[in-house]
Amino acid sequence: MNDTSSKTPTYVPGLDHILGGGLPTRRISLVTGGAGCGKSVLAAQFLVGGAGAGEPGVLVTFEQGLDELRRDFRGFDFGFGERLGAGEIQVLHVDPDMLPDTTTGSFTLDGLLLQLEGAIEEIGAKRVALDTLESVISELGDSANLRRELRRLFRWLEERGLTGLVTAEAGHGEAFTRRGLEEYVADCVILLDFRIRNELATRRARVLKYRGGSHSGDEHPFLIGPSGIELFPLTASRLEYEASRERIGTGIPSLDEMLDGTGVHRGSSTLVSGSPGAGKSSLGAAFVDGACRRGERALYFSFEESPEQILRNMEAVGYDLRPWVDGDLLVFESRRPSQRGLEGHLFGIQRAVEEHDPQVVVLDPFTSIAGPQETGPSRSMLVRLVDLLKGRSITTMFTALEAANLSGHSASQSHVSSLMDTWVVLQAKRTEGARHRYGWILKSRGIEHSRYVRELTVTDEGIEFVATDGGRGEAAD
Amino acid sequence: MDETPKALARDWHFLLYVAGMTPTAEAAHRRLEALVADHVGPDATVEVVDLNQEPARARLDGIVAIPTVIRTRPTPPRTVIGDLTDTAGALRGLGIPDV
Repeated sequence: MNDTSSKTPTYVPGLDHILGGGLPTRRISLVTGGAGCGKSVLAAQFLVGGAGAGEPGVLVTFEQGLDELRRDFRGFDFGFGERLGAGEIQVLHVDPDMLPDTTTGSFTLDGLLLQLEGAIEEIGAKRVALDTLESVISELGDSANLRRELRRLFRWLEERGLTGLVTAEAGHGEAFTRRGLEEYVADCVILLDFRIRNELATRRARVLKYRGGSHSGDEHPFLIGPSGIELFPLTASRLEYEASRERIGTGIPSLDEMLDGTGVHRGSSTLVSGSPGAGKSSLGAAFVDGACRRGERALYFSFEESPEQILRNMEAVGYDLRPWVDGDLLVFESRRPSQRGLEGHLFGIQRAVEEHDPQVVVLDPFTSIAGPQETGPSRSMLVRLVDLLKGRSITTMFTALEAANLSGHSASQSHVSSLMDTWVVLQAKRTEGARHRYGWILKSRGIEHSRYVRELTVTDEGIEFVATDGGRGEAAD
Repeated sequence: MDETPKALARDWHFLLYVAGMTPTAEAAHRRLEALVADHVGPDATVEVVDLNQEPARARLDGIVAIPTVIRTRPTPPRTVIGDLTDTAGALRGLGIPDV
C-alpha cells in the first residue's frame, strides 16, 4: 500500500509537467474552479487518457446525463464518445433531482458505493472521476453524517486501488472549495481559473497543493481547444536552448551592416517597434523575402491586414512576395485580433508553426494580440510563445505598434523587449513638410551593433537604412 | 389508535432499500412497519430490497443512500433516506397524513 510516491499521468497536455508526472496514484485529487472553467473537460480527458493507456475509468456525473455528456464532448476530438462506445469508460449518472430532500435519521452512501462497485467491476476500472459533488451536498443537506460518508467514499475508492479526481466549485478567500471538500482530498488540489482581462478570456491552472511531491506552484496558462485542455507550462526549457552561433541576414543588407555586418543569430527574436507608418511591416516583408531567397520556409502572421493587402503594399516598396507564396515557401496566416483570446492565438500560432515548419516567422503586429499589459497574461503568453519558437530554432520578428515618442523607450514595450535578443526602433518624423523615417538598433545580444540612427529609404531593391551623416549618422542616445 | 382514514385505505406500497440486514437495517425495517401500521393501515405492503443480494438494483433504481424508502404507490412516488428515527420527518417525506 506504500504507493504514495507513484504518480498517474493525466495525459492532459502540459498538466503532468506541472504535477511532476501526474496525479498521486491511488488517491483522489481535487479539481476546483468556477463555472465554465473546464473542470468537466479535465475529468473527461483524464478518463480518456487512462482508457488509451489501458486504464478504464468510471465517470460519476451528478449534473449531466449520458446524452448531455455525449453532446457536450462531441465538439472535442479527444475521443470521449469512442471510449464510451468501446466500454472503456462507464458513466454513472446520479440525478440530484432524484435524491430525496428528506432525511429521517442517519444514513450511509452504500447505495452509491454499490453502484460504483458494479461499474468498476464491469470494466475493470483503474480511474474514477466525480463531477461535481456539490449537487449531492446541496440535495442531501450538508451534515456531519454526509461528510463522514464522503470521507468514507474517497477512502473506499483509494483502497480499491483507484486513482481519481473530484471536481468542486471554487471557494472564496482561504477556502479552496465552496463546500470545503479539500478537507477530504488532501493530497493534491488543482485550481482552474477563468477570467476576462482586457476583454480577453484567459485561463490559468495552478497546483495549490501536492503532498509529498514536487510541483510548480506557478499559474500556467491553458486553453480549451478542439483537443480539450492544453496547458502551456511556463517552466519549459527556456534556458536549455543551444545558443546558435549561426547568423542570418535580415533581408536588408544595410541593416545587416548595422548588425556587425552579418545580421541576427538564427533562432533569435527581434522586436521591431515603431509608430504607424514607420515601416514595421516593410521590415517584416524584407525578413521573409530574405529567408525565401535562401530557400527557407517562412510564416507571416498578420493581425491587421489581409494577405492580399500585404502583398500589394509590399510590392509598392520593392518586395514581390508572390513567387514565394506560389512556390509554397511563404505562407500567410491572417487573423483578426478580436477573434480569440491570447491563448487562442497562441494555440493557432502553435498549430500553424507545426503545420508549415518554418525557419522564419513574422508576427505583425504582435501588439494587437498581446494587449498593453506589462505583466500577467501578455507576458506569460509571450514567454511561452518565445519558448515555442526558440525551441524549434525559428528566427522570429515581432513588430510592435509604438506610440510616437522621441526616445522609443516606451514603458509599454519593456516587458516584451526583455525577452528579445534584438530591438530595432523605427520612427516617422515630419521635417519641413517632408516625412522622414528613421531607424536604429537599441540592442542586440552578443552582436557588436551600430549605435547610430539611419534614415529609411525605399528603393527599387526595397528598404535601405541610409547613414545620414557621412556614413556614420548621429548617435542614437 | 384512531381508525385509519378512508383516503389511506387504498393500495399503498413501500420499498425499503438496505445493504445487508444489519442491526440498523433491522431497526429501520421495524420502524417502517410500525409507522405504516399506525398511520396507513393493514392493507399497506412493505417490501425490503437487500442490495447485497441484488446489487444491480442499486443502479437500476438509482439508490445512493442507505436506508432509502420509496413510496411506489400511490403515485407519484415519494422518497426519504435515513434510519427513520425521525417519525414526523418520515411521515412528511412519504406524504402520509399524521393522524
